[in-house]
Amino acid sequence: MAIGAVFLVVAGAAVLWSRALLVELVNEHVGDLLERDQETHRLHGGFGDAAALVAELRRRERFAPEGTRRRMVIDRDGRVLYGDEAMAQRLLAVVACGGPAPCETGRIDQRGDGWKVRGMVVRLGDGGRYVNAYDLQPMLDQLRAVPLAAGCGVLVFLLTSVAFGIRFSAGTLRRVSAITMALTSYAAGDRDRRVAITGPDDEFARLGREINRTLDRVTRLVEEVSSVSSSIAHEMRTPLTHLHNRLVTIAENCPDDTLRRELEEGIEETRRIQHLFRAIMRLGEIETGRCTLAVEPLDAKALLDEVAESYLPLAEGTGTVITVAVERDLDLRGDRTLLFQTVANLVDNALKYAPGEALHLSAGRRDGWNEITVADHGRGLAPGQRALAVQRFCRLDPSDRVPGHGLGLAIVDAIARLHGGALRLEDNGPGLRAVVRLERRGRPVTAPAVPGAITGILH
Amino acid sequence: MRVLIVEDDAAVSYWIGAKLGGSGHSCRFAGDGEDALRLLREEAFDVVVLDRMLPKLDGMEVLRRLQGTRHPPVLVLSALDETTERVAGLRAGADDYLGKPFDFAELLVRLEHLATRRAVLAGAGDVLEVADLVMDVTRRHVTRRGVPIELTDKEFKLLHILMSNPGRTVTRSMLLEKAWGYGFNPPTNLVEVHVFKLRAKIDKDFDPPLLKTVRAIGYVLG
Repeated sequence: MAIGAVFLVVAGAAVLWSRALLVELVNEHVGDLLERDQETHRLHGGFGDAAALVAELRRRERFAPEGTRRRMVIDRDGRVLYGDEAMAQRLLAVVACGGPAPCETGRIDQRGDGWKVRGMVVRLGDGGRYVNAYDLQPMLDQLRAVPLAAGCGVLVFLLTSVAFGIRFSAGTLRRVSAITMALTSYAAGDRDRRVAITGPDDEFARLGREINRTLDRVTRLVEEVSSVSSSIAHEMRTPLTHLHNRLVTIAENCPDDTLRRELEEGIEETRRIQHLFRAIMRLGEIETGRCTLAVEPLDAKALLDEVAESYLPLAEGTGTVITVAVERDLDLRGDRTLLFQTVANLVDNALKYAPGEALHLSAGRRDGWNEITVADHGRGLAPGQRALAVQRFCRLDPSDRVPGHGLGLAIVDAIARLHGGALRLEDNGPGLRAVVRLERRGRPVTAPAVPGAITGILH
Repeated sequence: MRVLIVEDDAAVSYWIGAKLGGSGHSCRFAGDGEDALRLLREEAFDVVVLDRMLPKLDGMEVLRRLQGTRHPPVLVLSALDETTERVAGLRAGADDYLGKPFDFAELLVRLEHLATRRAVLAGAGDVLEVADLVMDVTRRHVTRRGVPIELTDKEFKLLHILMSNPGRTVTRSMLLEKAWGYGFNPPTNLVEVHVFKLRAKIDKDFDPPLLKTVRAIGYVLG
């Protein structure tokens, strides 16, 4: 609408401007004609007296019709000797002598209802006046269509430009949108997704091909990394299995109680390494999007209640009270197993670093996002430490007083990112508030949904 | 129990065989997928231990070829221990999945459960009884010697699993998988913590104690 109004204004301006230009042009043209007429008269012996001039004019009349020219000769008493009576009446006040109007030689420029005259008054030797004028109105009337045509032309030009622009932009936007969608799907884990190359072989087609080549390369690298991870897992786990089995066999046959306890400690160590391996591999799975993401509508209250219940015995042991609050009608979507792991890691951390302090779990909407918050009232983290805390293997308490391997928050952050969000650590005044921000609609499911619990071997 | 061990690592294979033999079970060995399929066609087994990364045919392909045929339960034993890999293995038809490295006791318990799965299924009902401990599954009600016992949801679930397998060891990892689901890797051993609370509720005021710890492995009820 706004653009239409602008176009109309521009077209209107074009009409006015071209009309002004035409008037100016006609004025100049008439000015030239007047000059030329005067020159002609001079070349033919000047104007002489009124009677001679009238005779001369009548003689010329036969060869050159008056057209838009209006000529008059008035004697010194103001009588019209030659010329258009009607026009003479209109101009008489200007050209007549004896009145307030000038009698001297000069230009006249008069307009009235439906007429516009531009001319020149020449004083004759006997006191009469010769008026040579042109009626501009018929000329302007003839040219009236020109400004309108110019305005229409401008309007048509603008509309055509816009139509072409829209068509070109729509095509361009469609192709940009196709590229965006392909990249979004790829980032969400659809490794087979590529940009469809359509339309002419232009910059966009070349861009699409380059993106596809890049995605191919990324896919290859991810596969290589994945295969390397699997190989490392196999290569490291097999000797670990041998070590573990050997320790178990030795411990079973060890008659010395002290030595056996030492061996059992060694066996426990291999279990801890296995646990660490599992956490590293889990983080790798989530960070690379290789894990199966089963996005489904979730009951946020049930999720938080189950985590709270899972940690209730530990909380009771440290005197921590866990409370849960969930915003009404919260439309939470996500992978249940991963989000359960997220909240469990955060609660686990809170119980380790803020034992005995109130712990509040909540879920709600904020700024168009869903947020799950775990807020404790412990010592919290200094602003500089918060970014560090999310890094893998970062342990802010380097002593062994708090067990763990420094991957808990890195896993939480990776899960949040996989859900299109992020982990934010804030001051809870006092304490730490961990906010997991999640996309409202959830990421599209890129792999077949996995049931929350797969039937195992028990009943 | 007659076990087919499909494993290309001879040291692991030998170790499992020796330990199973020591527990009174007989074993056959296959070093690759084709050999495993041939032995499964020719002989009868109670349970199969299947590695994933095998020469000729890998473990997943063996599982796919077994689909739709009558075959003994399969436990996949693999270094590919990521949650995605576990889910993929179970989807391909494995009955259980254990990551390497593993405790032999854990493997043995799982194999025994697999070999006798049908009997366990038949025994499960709406009301479970182990000695004087009674669980009404439908009404979600537990009593011992007629005295009602209040349990949290997780405690109820854990007790339900244990009562469904009376007198048989259930490992901690099996309890974790069943009560919390596959893919949950708690930083703290929640199973131990919950079983500790459960034991206080069902055994503290009663005699004899029913819930026993199987050292370093798991628990047995009854």
